Amino acid sequence: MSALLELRDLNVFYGAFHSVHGINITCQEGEIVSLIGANGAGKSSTLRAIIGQVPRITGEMRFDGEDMSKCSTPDRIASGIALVPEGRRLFPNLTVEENLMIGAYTGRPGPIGLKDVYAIFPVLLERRKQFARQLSGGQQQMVAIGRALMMNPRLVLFDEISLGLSPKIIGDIYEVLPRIRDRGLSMILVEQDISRSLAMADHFVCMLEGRISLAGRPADVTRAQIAASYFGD
Amino acid sequence: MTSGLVLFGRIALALGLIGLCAAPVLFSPAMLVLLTQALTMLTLAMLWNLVAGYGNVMVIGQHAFVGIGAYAFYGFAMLAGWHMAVALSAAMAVTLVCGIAVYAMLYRLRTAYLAVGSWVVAETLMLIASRLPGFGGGSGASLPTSLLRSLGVRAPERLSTIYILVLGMAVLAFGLIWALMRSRIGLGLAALRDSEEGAAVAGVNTRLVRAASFILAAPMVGLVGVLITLQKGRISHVASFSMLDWTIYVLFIVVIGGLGSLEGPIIGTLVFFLLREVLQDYGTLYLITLGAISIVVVLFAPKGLWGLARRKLGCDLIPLTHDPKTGDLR
Amino acid sequence: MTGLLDQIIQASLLGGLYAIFALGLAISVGVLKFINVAHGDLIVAMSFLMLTLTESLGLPAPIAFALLIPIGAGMGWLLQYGLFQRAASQNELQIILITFGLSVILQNGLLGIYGADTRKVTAGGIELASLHLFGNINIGVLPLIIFATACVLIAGLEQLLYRTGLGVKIRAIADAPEAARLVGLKVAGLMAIAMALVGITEAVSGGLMSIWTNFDPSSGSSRLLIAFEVVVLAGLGSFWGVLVGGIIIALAQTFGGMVDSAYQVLAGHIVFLILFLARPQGLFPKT
Repeated sequence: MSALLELRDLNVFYGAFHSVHGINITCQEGEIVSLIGANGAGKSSTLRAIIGQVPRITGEMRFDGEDMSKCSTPDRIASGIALVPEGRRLFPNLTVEENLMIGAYTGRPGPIGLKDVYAIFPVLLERRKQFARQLSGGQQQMVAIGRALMMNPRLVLFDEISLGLSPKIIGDIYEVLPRIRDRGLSMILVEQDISRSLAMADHFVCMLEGRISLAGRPADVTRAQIAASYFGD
Repeated sequence: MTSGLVLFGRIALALGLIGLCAAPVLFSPAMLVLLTQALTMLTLAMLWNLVAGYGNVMVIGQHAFVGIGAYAFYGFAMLAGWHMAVALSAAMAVTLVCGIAVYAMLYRLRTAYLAVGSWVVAETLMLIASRLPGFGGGSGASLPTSLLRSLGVRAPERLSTIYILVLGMAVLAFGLIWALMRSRIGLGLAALRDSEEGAAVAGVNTRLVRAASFILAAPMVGLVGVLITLQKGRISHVASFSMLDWTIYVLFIVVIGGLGSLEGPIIGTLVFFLLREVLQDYGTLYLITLGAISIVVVLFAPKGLWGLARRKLGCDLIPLTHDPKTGDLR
Repeated sequence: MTGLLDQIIQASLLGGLYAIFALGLAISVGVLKFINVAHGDLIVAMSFLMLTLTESLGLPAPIAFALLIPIGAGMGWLLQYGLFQRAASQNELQIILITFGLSVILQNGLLGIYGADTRKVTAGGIELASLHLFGNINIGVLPLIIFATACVLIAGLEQLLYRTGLGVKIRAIADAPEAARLVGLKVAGLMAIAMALVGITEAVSGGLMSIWTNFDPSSGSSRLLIAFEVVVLAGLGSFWGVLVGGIIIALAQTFGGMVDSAYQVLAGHIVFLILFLARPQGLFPKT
């Protein structure tokens, strides 16, 4: 069986700046992959490359067996990739429900609808008529995740979902991820909170200066190995 | 190291300046009139470029200050009867005050709003000028020959005097902008031209720098208004506040020549008058061509003709920045 | 006394026309984030097209008017896709310069084709019909139709933008264009649709204006300035505010004109500048 997502020899360029150097990452159907690394290691660039939001890439990106490296962002999202962007990137002057509906408009048709999102995040049902800018940070993160789920994705990319949130809220949000996995969705987590992220993951990939420094199953490596590949000692 | 092309460009500029200085003895009165017009437009172009190209303050109401300068000069020289030099300075002071007032009114506006807002202000001032008692109302008023005589008894002499004044004005404007650009404010302006956010992050007081470019340009534009009045020998709200002459043409000159450079307005003025000589008999087609050229330039060469040339040359003809290694001007 | 009331009623109806001028500009400022300096010239171009359709082709005014609307939409779509979109990567200043060039091309193009004469379209007598209200107050049928059209357009735009999926998408790209790209909205296509809406308002303005008032190739600038003043007075995002803004400018002009006909336009500008200084964010800002 072919993998859901396959990156082969992926390079990312911002103008003259070579940000990601020939990496290979595979994500199977239903799998959670944790992408870790220090600031500037190229994690966010990799996610942006998967969603089609970097100026130039070389190499191959296959999604469900199909080469999508030339496809536009709307095409990728319509075929089942969703991004929960760093900094949430909501539409501040749209209501909660409108923000969620945007996901339905751009994603692929499927079973997940407003009802399911409200079942996962009941607080959003109470606030569905409020503007996104009026929500707390944690609630905004819920809208961002809900918006991605509304796209009925097969693969969700999470970029730093715990950034700027209190530990309690982070805990609440992480409790939701298994429920998403139970629906058969694959995930790639980019996260500063390594232990939390590794605890969830089937696989991990550690990046250092645009290259993969270590990859494998979290259970197969020691903390010291991870620390070494993280800091490059 | 400067290449041969750069040297050639600099020699051409220097020869051009010498030619302009010697023009009253070299050229016919008709040619002198043309040069007077060209230098007037060049001055306006340099000033608009200072405000819009460097300061990122997109004004399309610059003609307001031409009109204010013209009307203030007429008021001081004719109605108050002051000596011409005093009236000229006073007119510049009036445009300076108006510049501060207009900027205080508009500075909060976003780029596009400020552009059209400055146009509304100019339109309002033009309409007020047409109703001012003592300034000839809607039909305007002429400067009496007695006043013009003080510039020269016969017409050719007057032409030379006005030409020399206009040349002085153009050199003054150029010198001021050059000095300004080499000052701390100029450094801020250059940063602002390249990236507004970057400038703010780097600690440039963008509000102050933008205000400075707008407010310093105002009295100079007023001076242009005074000299235009002397050229035409009359004021009228339609001509003195002409948007076509003092804003639209100026905009085309700077855009085609190259926004945000010292060389741009010079090249733009040359191209503009060349096109005018070739196309002016075709009426509307002339303006359509100018509009089309400016759109094409903005789309495909946003830094104008000078931007294209500079890529070939690799450095400015008019040295402005210091070489980081040697400290010399380059 | 009834004379004053009459003036106020007539001015309010004129405010309806000004609101239609301004609606398109309000959309382009709100959604596309730039001011199209050629907005007024596009309206005047539509008026001239109306003239050609009725006089040269002999079409009845209502049919000519109905034809204008798809033409306006197509023109807006093409302008955005073919021209403004290409400058989208550059800054706001450059887009203004492009619309400025477009304005000059349109004005002189119209001048070359139609000449400098002042024109007006005749529409089979509807422009002369009027309703008797009370006392000696009559209102023209045409101004009434125009005012009603303004209300219908505003209500329709509100419905479209706040009640439909397309509207939510358009508001999303206006709100956060970067986020819109990340979630897969087709920003360029949506912007072209928004500009097509602007084109429709330009067609409606131009068509109605051609029957009610005189116009010539240079009329565009004054229409742009009116539209601009109305949009700024209304405040960002407020469509009913646009109607109020239109009525304010029309009232100011009417009262200015009562003092001296030369003060008509000036009074509009001065009232605008005073209100703007007092409330720079507009009278009814939405956000």
